[in-house]
Amino acid sequence: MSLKLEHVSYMYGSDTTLAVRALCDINLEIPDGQFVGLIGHTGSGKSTLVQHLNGLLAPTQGTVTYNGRDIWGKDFPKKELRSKVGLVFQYPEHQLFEVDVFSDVCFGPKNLGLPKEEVEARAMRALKLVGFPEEYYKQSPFELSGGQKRRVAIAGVLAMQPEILVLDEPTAGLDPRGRDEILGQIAHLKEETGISVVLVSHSMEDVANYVERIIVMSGGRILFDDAPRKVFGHVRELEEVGLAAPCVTYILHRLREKGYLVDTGATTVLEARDTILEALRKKRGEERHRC
Amino acid sequence: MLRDITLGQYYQTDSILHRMDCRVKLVATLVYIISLFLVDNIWGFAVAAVFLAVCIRLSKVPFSFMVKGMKSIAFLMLFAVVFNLFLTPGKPVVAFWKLRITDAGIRMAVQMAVRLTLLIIGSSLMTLTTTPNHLTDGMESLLKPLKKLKVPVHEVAMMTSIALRFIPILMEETDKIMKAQIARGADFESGNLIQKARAMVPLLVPLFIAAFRRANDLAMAMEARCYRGGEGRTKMKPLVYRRNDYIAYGVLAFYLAAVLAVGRFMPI
Amino acid sequence: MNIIETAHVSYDYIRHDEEGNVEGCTRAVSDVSLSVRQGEFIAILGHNGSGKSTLAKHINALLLPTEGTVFVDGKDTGQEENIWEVRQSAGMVFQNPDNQIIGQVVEEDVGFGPENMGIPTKEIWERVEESLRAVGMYAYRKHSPNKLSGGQKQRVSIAGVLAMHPKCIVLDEPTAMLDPNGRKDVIRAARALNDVEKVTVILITHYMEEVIYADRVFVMDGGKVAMQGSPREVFSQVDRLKQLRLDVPQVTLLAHELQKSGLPLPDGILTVDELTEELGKCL
Repeated sequence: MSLKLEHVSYMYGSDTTLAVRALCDINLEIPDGQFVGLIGHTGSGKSTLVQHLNGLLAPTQGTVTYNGRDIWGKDFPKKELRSKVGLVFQYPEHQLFEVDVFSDVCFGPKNLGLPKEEVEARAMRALKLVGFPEEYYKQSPFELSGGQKRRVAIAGVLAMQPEILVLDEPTAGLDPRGRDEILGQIAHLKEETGISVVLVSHSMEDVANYVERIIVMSGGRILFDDAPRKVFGHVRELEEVGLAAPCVTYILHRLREKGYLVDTGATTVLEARDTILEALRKKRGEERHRC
Repeated sequence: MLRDITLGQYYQTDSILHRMDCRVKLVATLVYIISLFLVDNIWGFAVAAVFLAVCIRLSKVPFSFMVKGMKSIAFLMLFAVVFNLFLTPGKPVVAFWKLRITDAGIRMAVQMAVRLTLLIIGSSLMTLTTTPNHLTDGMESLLKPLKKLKVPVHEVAMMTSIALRFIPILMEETDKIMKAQIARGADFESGNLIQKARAMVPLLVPLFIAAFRRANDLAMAMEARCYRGGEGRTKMKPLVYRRNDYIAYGVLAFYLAAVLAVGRFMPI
Repeated sequence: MNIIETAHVSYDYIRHDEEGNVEGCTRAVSDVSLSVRQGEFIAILGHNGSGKSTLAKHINALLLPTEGTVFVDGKDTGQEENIWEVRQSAGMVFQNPDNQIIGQVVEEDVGFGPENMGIPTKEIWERVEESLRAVGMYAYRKHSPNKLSGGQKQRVSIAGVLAMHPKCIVLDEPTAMLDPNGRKDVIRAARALNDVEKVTVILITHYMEEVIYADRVFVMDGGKVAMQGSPREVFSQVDRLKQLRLDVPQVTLLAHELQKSGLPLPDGILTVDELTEELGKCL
């Protein structure tokens, strides 16, 4: 199972004189079971890219293949692709419409034409995976808190049992605890199901704790595509395109300049703590040596 | 895509018509439309067409833009022409089955076609040279006398202008909701009429909820900025007639006299 | 003099069932007393549902307290005849940038407030220009708001309030829907208002990095003020903040972790510079 983009370019309004290039020669593969962060500021092309993953937009140039088959080929089942590559948009308000949470989550699998029992079993499983409390299954989705709405929206896509789950800004508008909870839940469901997850965000700090690979987009191109610690090493380049490395990266770089032997590749607070303690110990040792 | 639809399509450039007071343009459009219905011979239409051609020239808007406006209502026009062509009583010219085309029918159909073409190009010239908020401002000002009759002129103008501002936002929102539901396997295209109508529910519910939320927020934001209706409000851009506007009124009066003289009272 | 003075303010949201009968009520704000001096930069923190936005709407008389009183610039918001003066002296910027811009052109939107106040045309133009310059949006005055980025729209909203010459601006989560760049621009504009124009700013947010410049911070929880003090005082209580569903800036968190591991660092470190300096002392 893999999704592959080769030389993908996309122009908005390509048939008019006002064509705007949104993507430019994107090459990228999403293999099984990977946790990927897709980062870029507004207008970097990340939202456009995401819509190519499940065939909502067709590339102006290049190909998108799923398991080796061109998704824009004549007889490719587009609907099936959308169930295999699940896309959750930024605002849950854009998809919630049913009278209660459970029916809303059933909408996706029902569209796949599954029998009723299967639909309900899938909805149940999806709601469990996102940690949505069972006593609220019959509640109207519009009366939920922001965090719970988001869970229902994710469950609504999970219920189609995708192999790749793409989440566009799943933490927008949540408070810090809400953000940590939802990210934790996503990490948990990834572990549980073994599917690939693509987390779209403009916050490095959010994704640094979870993902194993980061793709940085800027001006419609892929700027970096590597492990987090490698990507954050390019502090200056990131700043040039209006992104910032996590705050700890800055601290570590500053300490390094001051002569502490810290590992500047640490990306989380806990990693940073360890490397600072280690460096301090070394430095103390040195000083003692000198005396 | 939905966002490509432009409503009240304003063409940004600088011309005499663009700078003209919107009230003049509104009155002129109205007068022009009325004149089209008072005229009933070819010379009258010729005068009207020349007048319009001069205005288009003055507006610096490319003619292709006007034609674009025509496309969308081509069907309506065809309908009006066919209707007149077949259903006007008179001396039959061609007859087959139950349908007859009469000489009067042909005349009426041609007249209707010319009339509608001029009417649509004429009014689109107004929307192309006037921003939507100038339009609402102009309407508010022209309809002011109705206030005495308790017609909420200011409120209607404010609502229109808010609606115009939110149309593109709601269009974009519709687009996003559609995509979110398509991503969940929704199908807005296939199926019969009933199935299609059913398929709209997942689109319309979020859209309405979003629209109500926006309305609520906006009302609060307006109140917070001391909005309390038209009473005691001043204007940042008050409408003032300038010399050119008076001249325009003069030209308009001259046009009306000319077109009536030629198109209605002059025997052919 | 205190620009804002609230005394024992409580507010109940009343829920109605489908027939319009009272079903129950939720206390969103509970016994809040606080005062803000003219020219201060105040931050109100709190998780979603902590009552911070409800409290903010009292300052603009959009909501009236169920119990207690709110005085803005010496005027009781509960008095009907004060409402418009209160709204003029305490302006408000909301969360969603799209839902508060009324005009179809940037400058017309900024002129909306002064128009409502009955300011003469010539002065409206002066105020619009001043305000747009103050937030750095003058170059965009002829643009359509739909073509602007989220951060730019919020700055236009701030200018719209500024043009009403308020003594105080309440920013109700102005950055919640923005990306990091937009967030920075808006906060910069808010700080400039406070520094240069001497407008009292009340910033409501749940982004910790935005409050480190505030003079005082209030943390709300369950409708009550749970913590208050200078940013340093508040951020020194990392565990308490976590309990209240909030974060601390990453620097502060790192310092806190190092402290727990036995390094003799002071509480409430707020910037990278402070941390590197303090680490130097640890050797």
